[in-house]
Amino acid sequence: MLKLLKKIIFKTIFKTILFFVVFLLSFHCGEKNERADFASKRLKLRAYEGAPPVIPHTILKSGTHYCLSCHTKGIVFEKDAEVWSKKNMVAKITPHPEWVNCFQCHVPQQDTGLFHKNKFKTFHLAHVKKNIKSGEEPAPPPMPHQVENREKCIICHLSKTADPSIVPKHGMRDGCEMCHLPPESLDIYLGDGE
Amino acid sequence: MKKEFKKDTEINNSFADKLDNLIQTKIDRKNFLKKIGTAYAVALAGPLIFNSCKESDEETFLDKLSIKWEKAPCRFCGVGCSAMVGVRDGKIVAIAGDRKSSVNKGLLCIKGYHLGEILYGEDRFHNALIRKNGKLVESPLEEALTLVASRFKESIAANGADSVAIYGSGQWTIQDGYSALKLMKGGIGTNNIEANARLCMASAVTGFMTTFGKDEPMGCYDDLDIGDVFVFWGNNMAETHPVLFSRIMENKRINPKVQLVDITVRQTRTSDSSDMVLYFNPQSDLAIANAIAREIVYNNRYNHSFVENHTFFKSGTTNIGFGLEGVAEPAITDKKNSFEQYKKSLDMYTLEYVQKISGVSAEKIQKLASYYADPNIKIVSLWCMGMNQHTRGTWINNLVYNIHLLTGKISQPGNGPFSLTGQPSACGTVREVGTLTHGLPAGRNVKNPEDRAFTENLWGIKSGTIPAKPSAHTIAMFRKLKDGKIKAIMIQTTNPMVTLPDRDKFLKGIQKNKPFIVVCDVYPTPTTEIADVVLPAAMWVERAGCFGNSERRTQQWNKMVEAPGDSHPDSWYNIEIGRRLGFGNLFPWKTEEEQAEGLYEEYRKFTIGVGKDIAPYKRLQKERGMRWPVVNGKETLWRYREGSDPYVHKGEGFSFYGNKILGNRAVIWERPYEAPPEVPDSEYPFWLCTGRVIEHWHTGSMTRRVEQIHKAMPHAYVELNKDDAKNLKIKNGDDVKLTSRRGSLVLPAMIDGRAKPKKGLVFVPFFDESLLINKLTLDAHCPISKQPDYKKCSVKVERG
Ligand code: SF4
Repeated sequence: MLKLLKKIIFKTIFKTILFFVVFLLSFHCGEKNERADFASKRLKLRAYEGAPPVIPHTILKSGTHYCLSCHTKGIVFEKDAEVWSKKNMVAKITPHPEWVNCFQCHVPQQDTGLFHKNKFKTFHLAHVKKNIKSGEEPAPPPMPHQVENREKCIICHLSKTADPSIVPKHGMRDGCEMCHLPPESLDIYLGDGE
Repeated sequence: MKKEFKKDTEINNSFADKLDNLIQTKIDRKNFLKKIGTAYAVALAGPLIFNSCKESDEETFLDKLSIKWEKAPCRFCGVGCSAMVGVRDGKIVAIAGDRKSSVNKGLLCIKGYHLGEILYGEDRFHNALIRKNGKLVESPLEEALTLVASRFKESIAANGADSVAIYGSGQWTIQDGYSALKLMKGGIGTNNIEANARLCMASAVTGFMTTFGKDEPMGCYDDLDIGDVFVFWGNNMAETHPVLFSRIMENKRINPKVQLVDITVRQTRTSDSSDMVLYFNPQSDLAIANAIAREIVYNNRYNHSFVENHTFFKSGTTNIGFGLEGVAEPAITDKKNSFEQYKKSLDMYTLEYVQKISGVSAEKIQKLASYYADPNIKIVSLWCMGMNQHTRGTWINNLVYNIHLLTGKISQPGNGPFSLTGQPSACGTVREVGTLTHGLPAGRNVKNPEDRAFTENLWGIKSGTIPAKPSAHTIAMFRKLKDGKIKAIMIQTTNPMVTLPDRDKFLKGIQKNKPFIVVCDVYPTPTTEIADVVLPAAMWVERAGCFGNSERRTQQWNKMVEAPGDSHPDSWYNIEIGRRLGFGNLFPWKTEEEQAEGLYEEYRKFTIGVGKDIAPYKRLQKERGMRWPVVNGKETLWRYREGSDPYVHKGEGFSFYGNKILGNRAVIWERPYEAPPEVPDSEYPFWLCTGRVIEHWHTGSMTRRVEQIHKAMPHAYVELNKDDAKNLKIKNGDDVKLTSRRGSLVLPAMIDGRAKPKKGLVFVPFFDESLLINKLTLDAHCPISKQPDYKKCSVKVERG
């Protein structure tokens, strides 16, 4: 009995310590909630992790090429906040400016109900974090998403329009993919087996 | 949060220069993947180092994310992109573009990215439904199958084999189409099999057949990366074939010489990206094409040696009518023409005359003609519904081929006409398997005794089983159904109660004569509403199957997830009903997997040696599709040209071997401009054009159940020209009432939205089952292809 209790206490302490270790090792950036918030905010704009995000604002001008006027270099609206309904709105830099038929993948959303409900479920980046167990996940953390059309990591993680919760505390270093791997299962379609 | 935010931006600003440089350089994908490979080795070493910390009873991070990825062609359009389907715990959780596919090179469109959700709509059918006391009630599958078989049997016994029918789809897999064809023509012994591709591809087929004697494009998508000038003949490619359009835009980005020319009736996203736009009056495309040919011929800019050695001139019956109900059609014949006669026939299509009919300036037509004529410019003509849904659909297809034949710009990399398809397997199934009333597999025809004998022999059935006369094309089939002449029909993977032109006419007749209707589908639609039996279908990756896309590419996929409840593939239903009708010997395959491979491999025998040779099933399992003819394990990129097509012999240069009796020459047709059956008048002063939007697939029964897509395009609308709207005092979002001679409909107005129609024309998309524009359209069709014209009829426009 005592042995068991000891084991449980030991395990708990061990887990707590490990939690912090993993926490520090894996997420050099921001607080836990911030990241989770970001992950759920992300998923609100997408059907699943890896889907093209929907357009979270109304389209001011029709026509295809207007998008890139804001999204090539990116805009951080701080002073001009009144132009936009929300403060701190960011026109993110597109990670793939070479694709110019933007509406091919990105569509604005209207405030309508559903036609019929859908039971599609996907995974959530916040879950990924929860499931990282002590030790199995030696730092640095792998990339928790696919990289198709997002090969330039810095655009989302380091540019001026990057969400603060995913900016690495180690700052700019070359060759992200030398330390951070894409998830194994996604690698099946990524890799050519070379 | 805000404070931190500032801090981070400060940090980042210090890297601004370096970042800017990095952002502007395009990453080298191959290098990136190589780096990942190196990193991967490090990862494998990771667990060894930290092994002592491992808790074996817990899932590892990687396991938790272990999505199994497998390739499948997109369920939606005829582009045929390859998608990677991510499955976890028996459910699709993610989709990614397949970068190993040369079709889409890793890209998809909004529809493709949301493929996963179309399986999981809450109102998906799980069980068979049988109409009892006027209501569809869930019933055991066995009961439904027995009922279907007995009603078909009764009808055949009482009214003959031609009283039953199957109506399928360009969304059928090859297996579905082939099993249906074998059941109807080889089992029951009727030619009553049609598919919705009649409504979208028939004119393309007759265009190919009359010009080249063989169906389907000679070129392939590689042309889009190579060509210099791209001409869109009534094709809003940016919305309807988005991934291919992106390939063209990528070509344009790299090669500044690339020019896009849009021939259109509305300013679309395609026009926005084009360098020259020709706004033309509906139907005058016939005159424009002839004017281009005239410019080329009369200025002596045609390719003399090509015309002399590889073409043949013909003319055909004119004033051929519009296939309207109750109006007799003239017999259509053709005769040999000479170059001089052809040249004379072009004489009237002067730039001035055509400018008057078409509304396009003479300079623009001349410029386009010079693009076609210039031997140093590689040019691709692209079209889809604009030219096919046309009461002169066959003719306009012929006329565009004329231009390419006169200039010899065909069957070469970056040079050629390219007829695009709308549905994922309109080519692979309907056209190649031949699931049309006249069709037999791989381009064979029931009218040809040798083709019938070959088919009967291969199927091991009594000679004379296949009727020699085609019975009814789609519109005629539904006319017969509404008139009570067809007593029982099975409708698979399509939604005619939304797509038939002049829909209400058919609906009323069906309600009056009450034929027995079976529908195989996945969701409730206006078509399942009129069904007596609904069979729940297994869709897309819930079963194994094959599709064939626009560029002759046959693609295969495996089953990845279980279908809900009692759902089965259409091919399984065809086989089961066949067994119950006593044709079990035609379908010796037991499991669904055996059926998928068995049906395909049996069908493949038809394709060998006739220029349609498709690749073996096992090979396709490994490939991202292969373009037929596949000879000696190699696919064919450009047909009809020596060195590229294995069917062209040495020394021939080009050989249009579909036209053996014409000495392997392609036909240059004399086809005049003729006005359409219904033109705007004082009572109905506007043209009505219908079509598609990028978000929705076909009748929206799948895409409307995807949240992101539905919210992007929740309902149909009517696009108006700004000046017309002003005259009618209609503002953006106002209700507008459209009335044609057949029906009326109230829709919200869209002015200056994603597309802007020319003056005097309104546009309505057809995906919305609650705002059914096909109540207004006319069932007039091309008398050669029998494909209806959904692009032209006249309407009245009022404030609603
Ligand atoms: S709908 Fe067409 S263009 Fe879009 S992903 Fe599917 S096949 Fe490709």
